[in-house]
Amino acid sequence: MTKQEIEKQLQQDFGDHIEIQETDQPEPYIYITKDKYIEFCKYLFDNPNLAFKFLFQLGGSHFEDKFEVFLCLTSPEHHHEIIVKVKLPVDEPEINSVTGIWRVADFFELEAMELFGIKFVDHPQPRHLLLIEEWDYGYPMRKGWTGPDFIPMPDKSKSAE
Amino acid sequence: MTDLTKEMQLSEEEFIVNMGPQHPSTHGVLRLLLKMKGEFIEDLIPDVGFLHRSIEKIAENRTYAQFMAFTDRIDYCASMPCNLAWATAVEKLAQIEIPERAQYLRVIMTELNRIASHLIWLGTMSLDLGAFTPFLYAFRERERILDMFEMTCGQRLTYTYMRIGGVSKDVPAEFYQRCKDFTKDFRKKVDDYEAILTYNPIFLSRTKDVAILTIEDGINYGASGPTIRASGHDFDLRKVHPYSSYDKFNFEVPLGKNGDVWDRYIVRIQEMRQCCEIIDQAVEGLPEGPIKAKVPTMFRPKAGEVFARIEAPRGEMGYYIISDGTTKPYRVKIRTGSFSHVQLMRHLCKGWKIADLVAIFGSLDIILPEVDR
Repeated sequence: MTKQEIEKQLQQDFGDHIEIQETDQPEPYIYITKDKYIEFCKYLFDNPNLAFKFLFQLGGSHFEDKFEVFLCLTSPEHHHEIIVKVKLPVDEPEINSVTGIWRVADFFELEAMELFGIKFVDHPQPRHLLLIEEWDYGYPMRKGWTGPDFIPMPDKSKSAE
Repeated sequence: MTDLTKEMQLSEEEFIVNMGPQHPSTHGVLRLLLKMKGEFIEDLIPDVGFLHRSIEKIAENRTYAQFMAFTDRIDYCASMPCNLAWATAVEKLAQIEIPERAQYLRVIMTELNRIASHLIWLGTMSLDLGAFTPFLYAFRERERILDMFEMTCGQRLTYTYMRIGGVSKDVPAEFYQRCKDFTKDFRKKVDDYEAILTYNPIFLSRTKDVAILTIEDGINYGASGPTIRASGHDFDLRKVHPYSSYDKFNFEVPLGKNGDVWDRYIVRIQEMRQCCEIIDQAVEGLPEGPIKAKVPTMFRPKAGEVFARIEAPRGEMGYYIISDGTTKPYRVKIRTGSFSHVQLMRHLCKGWKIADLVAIFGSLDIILPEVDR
């Protein structure tokens, strides 16, 4: 399916719950509301026209006023791609886990959990993945994070302008 | 890196074995926590993160061009595909047209690197299974590829050969003949490897029907590249979403039937032969022209997001970049094949003996810097 066809079908079935981001990219970028997130993911997985069976990656990102979780999904059968995004509040980022749909999401969610502090409810085995167990210095991938031995990069790009 | 032992419930007959972090057959630093019942694996938890360098955070403090050097370190056995993935993603974001000669050079280097990477896999896997000779053979041929890389860009391991908009240097005049000689010789060398391993009874008994992966499970666990093609799933990004002029070359996508360890072996072996086909066609049809598009030094793509992926030797590799319109990316997420394949271990190893674990691990071709990043 083309980008327009996918967007049309999603709009038909989810209406107000999705928001289509305007981009010049060949893949559709879709925002889904937090409460419809799991339902939407199941729909993308099960719908035979879409069949997004392959979770390419899942990750978090931190902005000033929000967190985002993005999923890059691809369909091995129809060869189309989609990027699904969810906005989370900055003070209490919490979302359901999609490990029940794509089992590969396990490590991706653990990574976002410990590097961004996004909580994935009902994740089967929450634990440290990349950092040491004694890690107690916050969430390093958040913007503006500093740790005990943190030395900031000198900002050379400004002087070059 | 956490006390995982308490996550395992043990009965009286079961016990825990720690494999790694330093173990010859974990190909880097990986700790595998095994719940054993006698000689059989009941459960497995991979403990990763020993090589974590937070490359994604570093990317936020480097310009797009500077970060190219860090992509080499994601997978040091196959740096060229990592370079290519980054260049492809940034070029897609900024909509830069690449000169055709640069595209062809990228293909030649990526495919040579794919052979080099598969040779390391072949050497280490056969070493793990007790065959020493293929290891020496593989490194002998890899040396010739590294010589060609050194001749072109001066480096033997971390090349940083590609640039945003093209490649850094043109190949020297003697490269063409060397490359042709290499592919001609290499086809015979692959026959040699096959003569040692493919139908060797010991090798067959260690690999045939071991750890079968179905297509459905493979896709759900995020298996990609040769690992999923060994199960018979016909999906190669070079064919499905051709990038860097891969659509101009004729080559086949080798597929397996059962998805066992032996199939994963034979798919990679055949892939090396197909690499030779691509390299030959690319060297033969290498067009004249510039090797780099005009990209400003202080490169500043417009704000937006991009998602690009390519076929790396160890599965699909891709970047997701969020740009805020400055010289540095706002957020970079790196996806590598091995990161998913480590999770696959748990699914594949259950019920197999500890000796089979080594064969299964070898067949997945996991490299640890790519997992931890």
